[in-house]
This record gives sequence, structure tokens and C-alpha cells, in this order.
Amino acid sequence: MRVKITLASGDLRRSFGFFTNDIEVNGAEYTVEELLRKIRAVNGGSLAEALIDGGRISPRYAVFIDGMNVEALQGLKTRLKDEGRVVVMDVIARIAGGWCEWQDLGC
Amino acid sequence: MSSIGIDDRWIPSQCYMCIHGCGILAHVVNGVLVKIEGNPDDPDNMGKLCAKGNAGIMKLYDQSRFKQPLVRVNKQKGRGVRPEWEKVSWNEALGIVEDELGKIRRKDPRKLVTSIAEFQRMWCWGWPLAYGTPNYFTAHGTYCGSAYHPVNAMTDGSFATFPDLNYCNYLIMMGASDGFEAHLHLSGSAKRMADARRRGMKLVVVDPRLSVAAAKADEWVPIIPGTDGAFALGMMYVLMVELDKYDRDFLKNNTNAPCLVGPDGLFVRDRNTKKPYVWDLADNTAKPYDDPTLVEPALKGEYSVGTPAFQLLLDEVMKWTPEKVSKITDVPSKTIRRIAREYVDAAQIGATIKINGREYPLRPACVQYYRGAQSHKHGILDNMALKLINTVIGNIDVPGGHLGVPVYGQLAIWPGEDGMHHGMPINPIEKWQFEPRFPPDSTHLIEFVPVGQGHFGGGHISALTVLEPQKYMLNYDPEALFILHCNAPYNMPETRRVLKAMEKFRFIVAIDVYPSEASDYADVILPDHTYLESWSMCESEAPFVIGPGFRQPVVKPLYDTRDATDICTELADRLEFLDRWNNVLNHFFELYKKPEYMLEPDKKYGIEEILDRYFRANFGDEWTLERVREKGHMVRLRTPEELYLPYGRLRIPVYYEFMQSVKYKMERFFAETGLKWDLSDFRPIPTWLESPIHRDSEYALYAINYKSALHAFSDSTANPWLREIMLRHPEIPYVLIHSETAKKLGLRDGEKVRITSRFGEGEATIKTTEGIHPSVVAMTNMGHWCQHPIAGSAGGINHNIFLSAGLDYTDMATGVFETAAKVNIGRA
Repeated sequence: MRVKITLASGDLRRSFGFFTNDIEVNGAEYTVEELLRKIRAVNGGSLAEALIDGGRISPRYAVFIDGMNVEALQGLKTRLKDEGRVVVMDVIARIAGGWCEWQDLGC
Repeated sequence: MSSIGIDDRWIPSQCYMCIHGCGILAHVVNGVLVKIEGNPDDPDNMGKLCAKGNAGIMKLYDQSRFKQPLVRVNKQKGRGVRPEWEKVSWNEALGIVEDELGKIRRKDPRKLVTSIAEFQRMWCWGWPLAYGTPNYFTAHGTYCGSAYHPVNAMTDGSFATFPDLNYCNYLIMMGASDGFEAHLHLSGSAKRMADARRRGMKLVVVDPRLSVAAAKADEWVPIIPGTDGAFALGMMYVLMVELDKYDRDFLKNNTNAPCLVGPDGLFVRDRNTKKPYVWDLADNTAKPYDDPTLVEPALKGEYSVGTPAFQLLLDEVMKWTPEKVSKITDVPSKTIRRIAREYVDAAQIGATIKINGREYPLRPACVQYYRGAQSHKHGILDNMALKLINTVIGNIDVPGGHLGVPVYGQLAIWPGEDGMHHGMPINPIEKWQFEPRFPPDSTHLIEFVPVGQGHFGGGHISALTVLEPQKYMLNYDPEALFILHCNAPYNMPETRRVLKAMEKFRFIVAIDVYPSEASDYADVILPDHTYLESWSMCESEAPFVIGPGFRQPVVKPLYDTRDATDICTELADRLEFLDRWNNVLNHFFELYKKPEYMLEPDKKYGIEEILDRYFRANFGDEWTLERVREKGHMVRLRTPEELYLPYGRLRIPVYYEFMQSVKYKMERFFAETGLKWDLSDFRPIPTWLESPIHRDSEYALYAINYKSALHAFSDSTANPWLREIMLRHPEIPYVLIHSETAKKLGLRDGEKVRITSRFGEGEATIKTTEGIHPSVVAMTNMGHWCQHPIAGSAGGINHNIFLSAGLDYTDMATGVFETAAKVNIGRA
């Protein structure tokens, strides 16, 4: 079974070239870290390499997998749906880039 | 999530990436801070946290921090000169400071000047008073609200102001960016602003630049810098003269508008009660304003006893037709008329609203303003005009209107001897009676500039007097500088002159976290904890909440640093004024409320114990430090009774008589001494006066600076996360110039330019845009040159190099200086 992972939210997609990945899961469950390693950028690097610093997601980034905050999932197995959605947010850039977007979101 | 062997905690504390102190939750895993988030339990910021707050983690782990006490080896000082620090023990460093400051204190303590910008440990501002010096040389003193705060205090005992976003339907924001980029409690304000906009509140932004607020507004009105006061007078003309729409009931019954003013500019008062008279149209007699027989107090006309204050305001307003104002502001007269009409129509004069069973006036319209609109050569007059465009529609401190915001607690408003609001600026030094005095004591000349916030700030005037004490009539020569988290060389106007003043100090000690332009001049560094390693409590200018936030260490101190309060205490002990310092702390923490918690005069107390005593003395014996740690903060929402008209029907000023009485004192004083001093800013009724920038035709463009949500104090550029965003930002690294203006000057987008003013010059890269008035260029403060490797290499340009620190660019009533410059621009 292949699962399509869509990297939503533009921050890292623009910066590092992560777009959409098809991941062969074969019914397995992955830890969040394993999953992030499977998501590859156009230059071959993995999302894990971009985000994980010292074994943890850098506090600069907020990562959501199917709506769940990765920070709460780290080290845990996660089951993917047929089409997963990964949202990566550069928290600092998002907030700095405007209160506008934040306000539009009603956060 | 906790697992065996993992110490995983979320610790509540208080942010200090700007003044205001949002509640935060620090995620700490095995002693390492891995994330900072807003604390959803704090009703101030409601779980929101701005980019600065999120990036605070990088302040803690900044590799350039001062990690132990340091002593300067390189005796040469100047811009870009490396101090060449030598590591020493705390005892050695404190010994040097004790020796130097001890000698000065024994000789003449006024020779010590202090530069303190510790906004969340404001008790430290009292350390100089305990030492015995009145002198402040701080960047914020005359920069931000030196004219704004006194006018707020004179009006309703407030320190700051905020629109009531709960009910406001029509907000005009002038030179401010509340709820978008800057000013009060940004994270919570952004949420409240978003809710108000979603509710349908109309927003008009008057600003030379298409700010984030303007970009999100219904309407952007570009304006010439320094003319906002004229715009307010033009609006008043439309309301009071053309439309005849203003809140008569409010003016008659809640203000001094009907009070009769005599030919001397002072109220005509009852000899015994001191109460001002008003003219009763019912029987054509003068009566004290609260006479029970009073039926119809006159707002207009001239009477044998005097003229109603409102008539004097009207006489002034009559001079400011929209056509005249249009020539000054470059805002079309029809726009002024339309906005004034929309504003007063939205105010719903006469409407009321019932909240929690109590009826209040409802005035859902407000003009909010801050530094851009009022920090100018005649800032006091601009502030009075901007305040009165609110007062005349009766929106002061009522639902939907213009709310006064105290520094902490409640508004400092109480009756004066005449029974009306005392109408004076907040005076942090009780003995100071707004009297000029010769010779002046202070380097910031508070004796000659009596109305401003110089009492606890000083500012750029100290740069003048330190360099030429005799010229400014000081009878002593300043020798040393005590710095506590203040960056005067970077933050003050006319950088060249400020740097000369820095070089003049024989000895400088700095308490700070990492290198700044100021600490580069220090002889001794006493390294402070960061806010994530230290204790504090702070309540500061919160519009909708009351009560202190609480700071606690979320990690153990990483290095051999100490808490700034404890450093101040140690120095007070060594310099033999511990009793006076403990008195300051007793006063600031209000420990006298329960004498058993007062500090003894001869005993050293650590900040933890002081805070424990503070919470018990102010909140009850059960509120130990441990209990506050668990709760995380002591912040709660203000009740409607606290938010709206907390002073009932106590009359507030339309006529600022205080300014007239101080003017008389100043005139008498200067006549006796033979000194010349410009008193044109001392007026009870506002007008609009030109600033030197408006007359300076040799320089073509106005240069303004603006506040980005990424900036606070001067050290946000030292934060690698924030710096990265700044450098990727489409505007921040550049000088913004209108496309047509650039074209006329033969300049292209992205071109490097040389900018010159009468007071400095620098190079920058321009960004062409339609989002700025064609006569204006805009920049936000970058351009560091300090030894911090990240801040010092960020590039950009510092607006302060173009400004003047001279008195001819200074509001002589409050000390606020002209924060817009006049410049020429050409290819570099």
C-alpha cells in the first residue's frame, strides 16, 4: 500500500523543496521520526534532517501529521490514512510574517 | 508525555522579549528548554505568543552571552572598538565597581549617571535614588511616550490608552499599530483586534506608511509626518463647527469644559472652596461647578466673570479648517470631512449600554495614537489634540471608546483640592512639585522640562549636558555611567553626539546579558541571568487585565551569572546604602501594606524572598511563592466596573489648566534668572506648531522609522531566529521609498543609496513601493555595530543617526524629541 503524503503549509515547501511524497507503508506503523525521514525533499534530503535537531523537532517548527501535533507524538507509532497530510509550520516566520495571516486564521 | 528517565515538564512563566510580559509555558526536557508557547491560562495573551516570544529560547542559548564577570583590557573606547575582555571573579568585579562608585558617592553622587531600561524589574529604576543621584540617561526616556504619558495622566490618571475592542465599531489609528505590530500586549491585542474586525469594526489607519495595520484596514490615509495633531484639529473643526455634533452632556457634566477661565488663563475659582465657577444660563449667574442650583451650564459665550473653557477650545478649533489642515497634512479636505463625519456618526452620541446591570454611555468610536503621531517637536500639543478628538465625543473610559490604561493596578485618578480630577502628570517622586529650579540637579534637566517622564528616564538631554555641563548650568561634571539593560548609543537620537558622551565617562559598569553598543563601552561587565533563568513579577500597561505576571527560572542558570536585583542589592550593601535600597524595595513592592513583611534596613534579601513577601503582603498570607509558582501568574480580567468609568463622574479636563500654571512658574523663574527658554509648548489648549523638519527645505524627504512585530528593545536583531526572518522579510532590511519619488531621483529598486541629514549619514538599499507617502522614506531599526556577532553583522541602517538631540528639536514641556528626520538621498 502506498500512502500519499501532502506537505501542506508553504513554509518548508518553499524553503527546502518538499512537495508531495508517495510512501510505501505496507500496512506498517511508523514512528513520527521514521515517517519524517521518509519524506524527501527535491534535493534528496529528508524532512527529519531539516527539522530534527538533537533528536527532537526543533522548537522553531511545529509539525502536524493528520492534525496531530508531532510534539505530542514523538517516539510514538502513528497510523497513516490512505492520504496523509503533513503540515509543517515555521512558527517564527509564520507569526512574524504577519499577524495578518494569524488573524485571518482567527487564531 | 513523561517516560521513565525523562524529566519532561511545562513550566509557567512570563515572557520578556518585550515589556509587556505575556504568560508563557516553557517546555523543559531533562533540563533543556525545547519550546516556548503562550500560556492559555493567562487571560492577557490567551495562549498566543508572538514571534519574539517564540524565539526567546535563542536568547537563553545565545553563545555570545556574558558567561562570567569581565573587566576591560583595551582602554581605548569608540565605535567598533573591541573591549578585549578579561575574565575575573565576581568578588574582583564587584570590588572594582565598589571602589569606583564609592569614591564618586563620597565626593558627589550626582556625578554618577544611570542608564536603566529594565522594564520588568522596575524597582531597579529606584537604585539611583538610593545611591543618591537623580540622573537618568536612558533610551526610552524621551523617545516613546514622554509627551503621551503626561497627557494621559492629566486626562484620566492613565499611563497609556487603548481602544475598547469589546464594543468599538469605528477605530481611527494614527501613527500606531496596536493589535498588528506594536504597542500594548501585542499577542493578546492581535487576538482582540481580529475578533473586533470579524465583528465588523471599521478600521481607518492614518500613517505615512502602509503598515501591516494599514494593509489590513478598510482605509489607509497617508499623511505628512508630524502633522497628526493638525489632522485631529481639522476633525474637531468638522465636528464642532460644521456639524455641531459633540457630546454636550458629557462635556457639561463630566469635564471642566463649562468652567470659566479668566484673562490669566486660570479658572475663576471660589475663594474658599477653590471650585471653578461655571455660567448658569438659567439665571445668568456664575456658580461653582457643583452648585445644587445649577441648571444649564454654558459651554459657549463670553461672560463678565470669564469664558467657558469649551469656548476657548472652540476659538482655537475655528482656526483649523479642513482646507488649511489639508495643506499641512496632505490629506484631502474632503477625506478629513468624511472621516470626521463617519467617526461622529459611529459614536452614537447619547446611546447607553447596560453591562452587568449597570448603565454606561456607549460611544463605539475611538482615535488611537502612539509614537508616530505624537513623538515630535511639539508632542505635548499633538497629544492634547489627539486626546480631545476623543473627549469631545464623550468616549473617554466608556464602552466602545478610548480607554485609559494604568501602568499597573488602577488609574491614578483622584480629586484635587477643587473636587475635580487633579489633572497632573503622574509623579514618581513625591517631593517633585513641578517647580523649575536653578541650578538644575539632573543631567536630563527635569527641572527645566518639568512635565515629561524624565523623572524615570531622562533621555537624550543627558547626552547634551554630559558633554557640556556648564553650558546647561550643571554645577558638577558627570564621571561614571551605570548601565542596566540599556543601549543608549544605539537607541538615542543623533548617534554621533551620544557616542561622544559615552566616551566622556571615565568609568562604566554594565549589567547585561550579552554585548550591545552600550556594553562595548563598559569597563566592567556584571552578567545578568536571562529571563528564563530568573525570578520576577511584572504588570505593565495591560488594557484588559489586572494583576502581575510571574517569572520563575525554567532552567538553572547556564553560566556564572547573577540576578540583576541581587546585583543591585550587593552593590547597595558594599556602597553602604542598603537601608535606602531596602526602602525603595519596600515602597515598590508595597510591603508596607503588611509591616511584618517589610525588609529590615540592614539585611540583604534575595529576589526570591522579596517576591515571597510581595505576594503575601499584597494577596494574602496564603499566597506563598510556592503557591504562585504552581498557579503561574496572578493575572485576571478586569471587571466592567474596573474598566469603564472607574472614577464615576469625577470631572476630567478639556482645558489643561495645569499646563498654564506650570507655564507661569516657568516664566517667573526664567525672568528672575535671566535665562532664555522656549515656553511655547506650555499651553492649556492645543494648537499645531511647525517642527523644524517642516521648515527645512534643504533636505527633500522625511525619514521615519517604524516598529516591526519582530523588534523590541534593541536586541531582537541579536536573536538568530528573528534575524533570519528580518533578513528574509520583503521590507525590514531596506529603506522604503515611493516608486515615483525613486524614479524622479533616478534610483532603481534594490539600489544602494547614501542618505544624509544635518546630523548624520549612512548607506542603505532601497525598496520601491506604492505603500508610502511620496515625501517620506521609512526604515526600521537595524544597523547594529556592536560586538555581538549576530546583531553586529545583520546590516541595515539605524534611523537614529539622522535625528537631532538638540533642544531646538525637543518639546520643551516634556522633553520628547522630533522622531522624524529630514534627509536627502542619492546613489551611493
